[in-house]
Amino acid sequence: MSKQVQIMNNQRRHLTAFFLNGLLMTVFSTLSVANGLHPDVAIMDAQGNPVVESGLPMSTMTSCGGDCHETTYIMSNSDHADAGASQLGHGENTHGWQQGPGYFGGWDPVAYDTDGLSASAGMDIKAWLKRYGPRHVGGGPVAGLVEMDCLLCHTDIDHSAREAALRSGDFAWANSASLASLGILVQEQGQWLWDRSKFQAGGVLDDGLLDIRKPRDENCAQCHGLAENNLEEPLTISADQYSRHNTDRTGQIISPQKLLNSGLNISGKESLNYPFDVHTDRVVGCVNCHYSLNNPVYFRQREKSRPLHLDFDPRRMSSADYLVRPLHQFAKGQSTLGLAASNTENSLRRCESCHNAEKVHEWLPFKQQHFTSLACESCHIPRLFGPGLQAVDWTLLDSEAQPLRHYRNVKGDPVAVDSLIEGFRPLILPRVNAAGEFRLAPFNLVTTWYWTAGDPATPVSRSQLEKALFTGAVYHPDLVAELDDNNDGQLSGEELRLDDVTRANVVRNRLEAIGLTGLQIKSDVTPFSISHNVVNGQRATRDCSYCHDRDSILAAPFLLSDYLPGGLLPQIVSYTNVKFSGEVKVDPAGSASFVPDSYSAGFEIIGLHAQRWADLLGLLMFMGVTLGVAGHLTARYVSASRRAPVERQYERVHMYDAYERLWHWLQASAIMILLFTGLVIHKPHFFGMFSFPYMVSVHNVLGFVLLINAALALFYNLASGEIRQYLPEPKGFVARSMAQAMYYSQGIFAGKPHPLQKTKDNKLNPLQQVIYLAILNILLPAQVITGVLIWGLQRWPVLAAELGGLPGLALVHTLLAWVFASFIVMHIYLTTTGHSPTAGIKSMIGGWDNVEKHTGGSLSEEPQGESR
Amino acid sequence: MKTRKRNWLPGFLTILLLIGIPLWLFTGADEPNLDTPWESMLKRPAHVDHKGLYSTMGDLTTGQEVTAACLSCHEDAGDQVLHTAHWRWESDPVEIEGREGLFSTGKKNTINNFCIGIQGNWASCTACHAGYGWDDAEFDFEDQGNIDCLVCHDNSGTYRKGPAGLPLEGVDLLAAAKSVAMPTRENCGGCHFRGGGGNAVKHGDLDESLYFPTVDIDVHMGRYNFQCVDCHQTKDHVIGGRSISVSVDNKNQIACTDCHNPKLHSDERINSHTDTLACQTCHIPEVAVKQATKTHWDWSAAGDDSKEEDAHHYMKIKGSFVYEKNLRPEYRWYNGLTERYLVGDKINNNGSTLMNPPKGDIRDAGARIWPFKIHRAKQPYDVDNGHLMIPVTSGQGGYWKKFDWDQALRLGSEITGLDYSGNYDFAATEMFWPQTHMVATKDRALQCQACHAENGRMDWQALGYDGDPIKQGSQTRRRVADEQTGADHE
Repeated sequence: MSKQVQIMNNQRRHLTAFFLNGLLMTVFSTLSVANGLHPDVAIMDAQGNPVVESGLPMSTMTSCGGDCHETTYIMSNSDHADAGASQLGHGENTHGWQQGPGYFGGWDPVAYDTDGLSASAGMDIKAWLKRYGPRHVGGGPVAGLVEMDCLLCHTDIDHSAREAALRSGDFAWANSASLASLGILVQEQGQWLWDRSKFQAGGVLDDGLLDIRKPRDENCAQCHGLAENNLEEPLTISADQYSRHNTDRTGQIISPQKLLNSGLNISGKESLNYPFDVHTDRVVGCVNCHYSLNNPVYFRQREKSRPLHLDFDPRRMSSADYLVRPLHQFAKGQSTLGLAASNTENSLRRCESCHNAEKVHEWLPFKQQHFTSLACESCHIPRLFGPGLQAVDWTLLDSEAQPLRHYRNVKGDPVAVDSLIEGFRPLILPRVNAAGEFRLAPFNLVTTWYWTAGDPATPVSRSQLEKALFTGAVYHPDLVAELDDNNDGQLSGEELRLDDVTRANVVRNRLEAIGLTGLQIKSDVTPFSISHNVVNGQRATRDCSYCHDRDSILAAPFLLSDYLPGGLLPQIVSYTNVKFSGEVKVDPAGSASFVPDSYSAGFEIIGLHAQRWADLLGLLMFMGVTLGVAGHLTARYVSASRRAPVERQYERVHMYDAYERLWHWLQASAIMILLFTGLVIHKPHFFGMFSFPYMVSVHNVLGFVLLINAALALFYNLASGEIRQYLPEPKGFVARSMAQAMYYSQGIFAGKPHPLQKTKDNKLNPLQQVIYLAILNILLPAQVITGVLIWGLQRWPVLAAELGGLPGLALVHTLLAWVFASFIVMHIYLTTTGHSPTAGIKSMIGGWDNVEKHTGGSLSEEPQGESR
Repeated sequence: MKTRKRNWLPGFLTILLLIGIPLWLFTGADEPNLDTPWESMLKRPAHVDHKGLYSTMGDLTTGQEVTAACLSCHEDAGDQVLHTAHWRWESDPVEIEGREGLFSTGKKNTINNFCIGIQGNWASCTACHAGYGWDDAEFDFEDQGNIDCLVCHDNSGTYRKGPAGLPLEGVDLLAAAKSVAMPTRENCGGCHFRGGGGNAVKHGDLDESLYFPTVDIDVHMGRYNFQCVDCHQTKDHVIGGRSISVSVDNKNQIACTDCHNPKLHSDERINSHTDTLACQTCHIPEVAVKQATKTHWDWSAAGDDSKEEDAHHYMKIKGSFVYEKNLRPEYRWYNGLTERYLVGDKINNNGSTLMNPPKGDIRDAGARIWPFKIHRAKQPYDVDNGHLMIPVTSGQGGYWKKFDWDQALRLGSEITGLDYSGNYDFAATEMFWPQTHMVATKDRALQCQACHAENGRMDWQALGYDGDPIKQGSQTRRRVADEQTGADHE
């Protein structure tokens, strides 16, 4: 009951503050009041007394707690405070020496947090705080020393004093120290003193001094990456790039600025007329997607725990309840390294929760197929323009005791404004989504190299490294003696690369000299998934050849490292939520790349994964037929020139009805266009001048033209009885076939007459009948069915899958296309074997043919009309 | 035989259709191009070389002789010009909402908050009149002989006008006459870029940087070398366009949408803005990008000998100024019409007197949010009569020579007939300049965050919204839109 009264009091207080602020807003309407809701607060110490009276440090737990927010609830339900501490000992670890999967006690080879790893002795919390405290919100495992600092995320005050206090071990005053930037707190002779003049009665801060509000992008950016919403100042890389992890490790930059208006020296930027991140551009802030998981405005039950019939459960906390107990676990997606917050994995809304992709991808061939194979990000994050790491080499330190950092897309210092940045294409790998399905999604891979020592092996710490490598401020003479290739007494540039065993041994000896044993170089290739820096449909990858081509991004080598310390091949760290299908390859120059292979992960890509043997077989058949035809033609020509022309009598016959001719030419045109467009789709890199999606559309349309034409012709043939012409007459079939075969192989060269008379009712010789039966009953239906299934893959996925899925269907379709092509060569050639080379074609155009008058001969005596 | 030769044709055409029609139906034509601005551009007339045409026309030693020479061939031109605002400096009589009767307004008889008014100061002001000899109230507006053809048509670049609009001594009028052609930016800019008595003073979006504009200054002029008259299309010497500094009606106005489709953006969200925003609002993110423009003018500070003279901060004859470069416009609803402070109107005793406040508000379906340069001034008024005064400044016995406000105002009142009690002070005034030139390239257009971020540039409450409409929506505007579409259906 008393709790309820408190809440009501709170509400009243909020209301009063709201109206007061409303009044203020009216008066100072030109002033932008970001959030008028939060009242001015009293700054309390841990005992709940105003600090201005007690002189003690601020306690966020009491100042923000008390009657308002339930701070213990907030702190104990915060992944940011916990930092993975609660999973120590039972999380999913990737290395033997780490205690937990999270930030606290975990292993991050990029940041090289070896100080958190003193496994046997347990964690030295004070040492950890000094080093990592500035990146930690407080509370959780360090609650006894530093409280969770609400101001870190809910104000825009400068926190450098907090950082300094933590580094110096002044934990008690660390959170308070930030208030020094407002002049509330001053430090005199090492003593922190509250400035009484800034406080009202009851320890309440002066009006408007401290603006408390929801977190803005800049708050998140302190640790997570570079975020800059200012449109007026050209964006540059901040000096603390290394500590802005998402930017440093993936090149993601959160800014509405258009790339061409930014201060970055991006190659070709004048044509990059779009913002770094379209969501930021459209005023979607970090917390709009990464919302508190019980925020009644955003909260959405996960599919797993939601009844099928319910999209939205309207029963939820009131805003007032939420303000008292705002859950500080935030919706997050599926990051490969999200191991410490596994219970909030995939709690984020997905792209589909806000966007209706179906409606705006009408232009996309195989829409459903693309949706079930690709994460939206794969096309909508085509390039990254922030400095993104490629490799961090801790096997040797540079003269400032820093590791060698190699950026994927920057030459030189990533922070310098004149360093040229190239946008880089992320690697596309299968990543599991919220529904447990693998979709191709973008990643950056960061390769790290470092020494391990001892048994069981643990990474050599930074201090040990420095001790081994340096004497005072300079390199140990042994290193200079062995590694200084240009003999200038310095180690710089590529001299710092331990790119063979001999060079690696120089450092190994030094490490052994300081007492380490069991030394090994270890490498980790860590995948970082990429979900920000989304571009809109206009800028997304629309070029089919990006994937559907020989140079497909899905098969392109992704550079891991220019050199291999100790000659060691980079080792991939496996995570359950990403499939590393592909292999690491080393090229002769000594660089290592990851070559993805989506085929082995079950993704068949048209235009990339064509089966070479099928094409080879098809080509052989095609060439064989062509060569045979050419040989036959040559022999005919030669034999004809050696003998006198034979005079024959011809009879003019109306051979082909108008419908037959129309059917024939429509089918012929359709097949020719289908063969051509099919070839373009099959081997797009040979036909760069054609629009791939247009070719796909044309192919689909012509396929249906062919199908309808064939169906109508079947009806015609059935209804008219013409179908009989296609059916071989069993009686004498062998003899007639032999006769026809003998004619083609001998008689034709001797100028003999055709063995079988062609009449209107018996146009096809037995060989033709067999061939056409095969074509019309096997080849054409098979080609049409596979074609329709490929086209309809998205409509009947189950059926299509049972018939071999795209890989099987495409293979059959390709092979049959080669047969068709070969048939056409043969077919056209055989039209020239009539009484004159063009007679066949002319008769199919005009309908009239001259047929030989057969006056004698045993074969021709057979009654032609018998089949009637 | 002939017929047999062609008998394949119907079959061929049938096949073509049988394949072509499905392809046409199902492969989908490319999206139609929504932006076809060049179709609306007038072709510039072919140039007629006038070099050889003056041999029989005398020496052409005065402007009027040039005019006579022009009119001897261009017989209708004189009469056409007599009816234009460039000649008359006032509009045809129009009604003004809320007032009785018809009003002709223009430079001739209105008051502004720069140099205030031309009455009594004709000679210096009419240096920009497209005529010769207007130096008192008696100027004859029906005399074609005093039309100044050259100020608009000289292409030699050497023609200059002085007091009362007469050609300056030393100008080679024959050379100027030989050069005549379609007006260029130099012709228009000679007056309009120097409005307010100097480069960049008045408009904010018009200044001498437009003589040789880069694409960053104005996309039309910088990228495509537009001349003023390409947009200000002219018929019978009536030049298209209206300025609310002098006009109260909205006829013959020019709009971006004369050439551009307002729904041309590929983004639906952006297209939905065009019912609410003028194109200019996003596409002119800032003005005075090269030259600072005057934003404040305090006449009451004039006459102080002790202050240092500086054309951009203080002049004894004019008072103190503020100039701003890269000026961020202010935003107001505007439906193309304005209120107008007319000579003799009472001033506003609660705050600034608005000389030409734009009409329209959130409930006005025809109104859009527009960018304005607002020029704020303090200028003399009669305390007892409660109206703004027009002082004689450059004219005989005026303030610029005598530094005596009482005398300047008294002389002014004798000319204008405006009552003067002798009791004067300085009143705050605001004058509105819609920003429509200096259109930025599209990559510089405003982005969402410019207005919809927490510190955006729109004052939503002042515009009539409950708050940022991206979060709060706007019931009012939606209702207006619904009513509008409802009305359209009927």
